[in-house]
Amino acid sequence: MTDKTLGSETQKKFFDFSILTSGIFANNPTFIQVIGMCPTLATTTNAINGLGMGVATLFVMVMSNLMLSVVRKWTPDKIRIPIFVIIIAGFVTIIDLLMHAFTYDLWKTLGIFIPLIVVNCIIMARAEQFASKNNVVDSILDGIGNGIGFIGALVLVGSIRELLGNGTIFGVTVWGEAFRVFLVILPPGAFITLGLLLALFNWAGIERKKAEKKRAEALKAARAGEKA
Amino acid sequence: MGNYVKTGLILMAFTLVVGVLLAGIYVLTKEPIEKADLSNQLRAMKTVLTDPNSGRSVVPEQEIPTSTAQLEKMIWRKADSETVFSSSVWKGAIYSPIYHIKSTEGKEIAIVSAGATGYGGDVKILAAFIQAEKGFDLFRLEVMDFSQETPGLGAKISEERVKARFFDFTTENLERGLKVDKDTGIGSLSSPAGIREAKKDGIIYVSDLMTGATITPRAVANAVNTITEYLSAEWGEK
Repeated sequence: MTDKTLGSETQKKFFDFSILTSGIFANNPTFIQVIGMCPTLATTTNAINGLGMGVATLFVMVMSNLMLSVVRKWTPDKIRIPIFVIIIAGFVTIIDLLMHAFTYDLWKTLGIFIPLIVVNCIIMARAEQFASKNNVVDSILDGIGNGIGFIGALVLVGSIRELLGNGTIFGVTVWGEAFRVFLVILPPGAFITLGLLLALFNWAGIERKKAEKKRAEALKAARAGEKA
Repeated sequence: MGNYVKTGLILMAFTLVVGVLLAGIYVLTKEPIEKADLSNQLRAMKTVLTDPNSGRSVVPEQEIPTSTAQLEKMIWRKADSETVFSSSVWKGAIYSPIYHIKSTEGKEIAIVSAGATGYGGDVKILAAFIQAEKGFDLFRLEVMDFSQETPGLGAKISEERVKARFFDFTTENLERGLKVDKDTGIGSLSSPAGIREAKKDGIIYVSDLMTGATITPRAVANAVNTITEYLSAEWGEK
C-alpha cells in the first residue's frame, strides 16, 4: 500500500492529526489495506467479540509501534522481522498475563483471541511500514488510528453478522427471532459479509475519486473560461 | 563474519531484554493469577451448590468453601496425576481432586470436574451430583472452560438456559448415558412440553438454543456421562 513516508517533509507538525484519521478511513486496515483477515473473519460472530478483539489489538499495536519506533535506530535491517516478532509477542504475553491476573472475566471471554494477536499482520504491517521509519509520536498516532480503524471494521462486521444471524446487536434484541439467516454466523457468512463490505467501501472510494476529478475539471474549465 | 556476530549479538540483546521483562511480569502476576483462578473455582463451586430455581444453597452457608484450606478438607478422591479416571466409552476424563460435602438435609454431594473433547479442545465442567433414593442425581453443572469453542456457536454452552437443559434427568437415564438430540434423530421440538418429554428418554434437547453447534453440548454430555460412569462404580463406597 502507498503510505506517505513522513518525516522527510520540511518542518512537520509535532502532532499530525492526518496520521490518525488516515488509519481510520482512507487507509483502513480491513477495508482498504485488506490485511488482518484471519481475526476479522474468525472473531466477528457478534459485535462484542469484535470489539474485544479490536481493543486488545489496538493496545498491542500502540505499545509495539511505540517500542519499535524507539529502537528503530538499533534495528539492523536484516533482522528487523525477528525483532518485530520478539517485541510484539512479548507485549501480547504481558497483556495475556495482566488480563488473567486482573480482569479474569474479560480474559476468559477473549481467551482465544489474545494469542492470535501475535500473528495479526496489521501489527506487523504497521511495524514494517510505519513504526520502523517514523518518530515515536507519529508511530503512536498511527497505532491508535489503525487500531480504531480495525475496531470499527470488526464491530461493523460483527454487528451485521449478529443482527442477521441472531437478531441482536451487542446482545440487545433488535428483531429477535423474527428474521434469522443462520448462515451469516457460520464461517461462510463471514466471507460473504466481508466481501460485500469490501465491495461497498471500494465503490465508495471510486465514487469519491470520480467526484473529485469532476470537481477539479469543473474548476479548471471555470478558470479557463475566466481567462478567455 | 564480524557483521554476522554483531547482528547475532543485537538479536540476543533484544531477546534478553524482552525475556527479562517477561520474567518480571510473570513473577509479578503469578500470585494475582493464582488468586483469580482460585476465586473463579470457588465461585463455580458456590454456583453448583445453589438450587437454580429457589436460588438457595443446598449446603449450610458456612460450609461453602472460601479458601484453599477449606477446599482441601473437602477432598474425597485425589490422584497424583491430573486425572482420576478416564472413560473409554465417553472419551472423557475426571480431573483430580474430587470434592464432597453434606447437604443441609444430610445428603451426600459429590463435586466433580470433568472434561471431554469439544470443537477446538477440551470442554471442562464442574458438576454437583446429589444423593437420591436410588444412587444419585445431577444437581447442577457449570461450564468452566469452553475457550476453544466458537464464539456465538459452541460458546453459547455457557448460557444459563442452555445449562438448564442438562438437569432433571432420572438416575436411570444418567446411568444409561445422556444424549444430545442430534444424535437421536428425534427431529425438532418446539414446545417446552416436548423438551420435557424428551428428557424422560435421556435426551438433552439443545438444537433450538444452539443451532449449528452439536459438538460442544455433546462434549458436555460426554463429560457428565463420564462422571456418571465413575460414580456408579464408586458411589457405594462413600
